[in-house]
Amino acid sequence: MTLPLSILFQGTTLLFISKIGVLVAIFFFIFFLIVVLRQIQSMNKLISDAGFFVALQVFSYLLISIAITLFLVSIVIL
Amino acid sequence: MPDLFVSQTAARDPRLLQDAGMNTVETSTLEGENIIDSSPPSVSTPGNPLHLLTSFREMPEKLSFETQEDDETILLFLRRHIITNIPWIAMIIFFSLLPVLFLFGVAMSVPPFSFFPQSFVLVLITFYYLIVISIGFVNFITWYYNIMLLTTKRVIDIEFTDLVYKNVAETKISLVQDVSITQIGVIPALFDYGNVLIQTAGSAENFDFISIPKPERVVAIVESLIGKRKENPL
Repeated sequence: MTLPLSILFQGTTLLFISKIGVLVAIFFFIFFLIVVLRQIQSMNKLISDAGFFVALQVFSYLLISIAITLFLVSIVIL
Repeated sequence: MPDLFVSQTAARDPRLLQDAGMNTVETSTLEGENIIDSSPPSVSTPGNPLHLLTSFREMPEKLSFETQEDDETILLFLRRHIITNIPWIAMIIFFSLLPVLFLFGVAMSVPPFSFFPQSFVLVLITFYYLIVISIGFVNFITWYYNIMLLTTKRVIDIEFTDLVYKNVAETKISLVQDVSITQIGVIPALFDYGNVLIQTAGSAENFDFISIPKPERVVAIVESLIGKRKENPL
């Protein structure tokens, strides 16, 4: 006899593993974005153009901020 | 014995150097040869400003690189043609639309979507879009930082791939032996882009500029710099 997926998802163990999985994934994703930011800063030293590199840095800071916010919100709502 | 692979200074086109903002003074020697004395520009020449999606610019304005010398002028700034970004842009659009089906499934209570808790759906969708935007951003900066520069002294290729690989290769103009174009396919012919191979002397690395716009123009400028072309392409 197979259990329906809804019962599995309501199971506390599976739900707990899913929550931890999502939080770990977001955590590593923040590290990935920090690597992106470091690379942009590194390239900025190598070559400079009319301010667009700064815009890319700002955008990567924005992504990191959103990811950290999502991580904190996930801890609360999951 | 003269070095066959080193271009003579006198072979450089004086008009090219003048257009590059360098003062050129021709002096005659006893043998009747013309020697070009190139010095840094005394007056700044009006340049061409770069914008975010520039992939081809002659004499770019407000651009400099780390190892640039005082008397070195950037003649050409190159990236891959903007049209080469279409595949990943299409992929991003596709993956951006995918959660719409997912949300539709949740709304219609179609198994297995209906079994996801609402808080999970919210977090997963937000995380998913964050990943999609980041993949698009990484693809963009990969294109953005793959830069090729042609200066009055050097050819520089800045290669940036997969976020962790960075390679800066350069060679002197005097070591450039030959330059050739490869343009294969309808799309490159339509949008006027192709590959330019710059062959260098000896054990120096060859430069393969992939999918760059106006390849014939690039070849004309390089040939003029190495003294293979008499007329001024600029």
